[in-house]
Amino acid sequence: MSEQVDKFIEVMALNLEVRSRLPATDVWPNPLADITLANDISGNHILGLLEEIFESIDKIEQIAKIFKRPARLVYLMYLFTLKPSNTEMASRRVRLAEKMISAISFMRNGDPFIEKGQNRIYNDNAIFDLVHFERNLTIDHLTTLRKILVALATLNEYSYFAWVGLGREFHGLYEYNGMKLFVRDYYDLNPDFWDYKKGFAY
Amino acid sequence: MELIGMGASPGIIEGKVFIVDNLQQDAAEMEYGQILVMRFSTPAYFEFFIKASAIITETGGITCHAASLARDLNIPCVVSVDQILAKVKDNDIVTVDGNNGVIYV
Repeated sequence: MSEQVDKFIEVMALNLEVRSRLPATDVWPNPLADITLANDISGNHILGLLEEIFESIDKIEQIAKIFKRPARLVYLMYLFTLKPSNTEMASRRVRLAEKMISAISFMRNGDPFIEKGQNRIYNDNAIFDLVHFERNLTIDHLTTLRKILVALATLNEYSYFAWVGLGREFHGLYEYNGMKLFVRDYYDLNPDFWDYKKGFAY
Repeated sequence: MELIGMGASPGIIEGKVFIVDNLQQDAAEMEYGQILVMRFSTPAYFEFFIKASAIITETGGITCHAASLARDLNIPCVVSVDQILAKVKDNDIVTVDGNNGVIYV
């Protein structure tokens, strides 16, 4: 573990040194956002926390409420690239993976791997509300909407770095009265772990 | 002068260049409708993006950050234009052809 922490500090120091140089000639995304590095540093710890959550909560509806969108769970499945250290740990991870897939399946209306080619999360009522809202929009709103879309994407990147799937879910297609809807859903742009966002109004 | 890159968001537009090459530049200095020129983009450049009428980058491909945001904004974008920062300066008039990936200076 200490070797991994050393590696983390080394990468962070290098990154800060590069980032502080002007003009900016480095790259995006920030190297610290590399998910495989996060795996090395804290992957086993996060898997332990996930095991605790999935062991302590029986109802899948509650799991869905905690994680909010299936893409979050899908992202966390990167953690299973970590090699278990013994067979007991391996079987625990298989159990965890099965539960996570069940939760993803619940949130995706029974199609966890989107084999039908559609990531459907919203029910008919939510689609009705969405369509009702969209109908009040006119062509004059389009430029503003496009800017809002870019603002949301940017804020999502600020919040989660390269792990953008933790704050957004793209879902659909939905069909409603002959229309087809594809939803770009930014659902958690004020995570409580960033102090600077405490003053935000939303 | 013609500079060749990769068209990453369609459309053709003419405008004045505004170069961003460090994170401390103030977006208030940029006018709405200028052509944003940068080495690459990061989310820190949001305020520049929403003022731009087109985006040109020196690096990146058609799925890069700048390209994706340009498509969301529905403005032309040409990426991977070699040495663009050395070949244009602020307020140069350029035409960005996002369909064919060409910049006319």
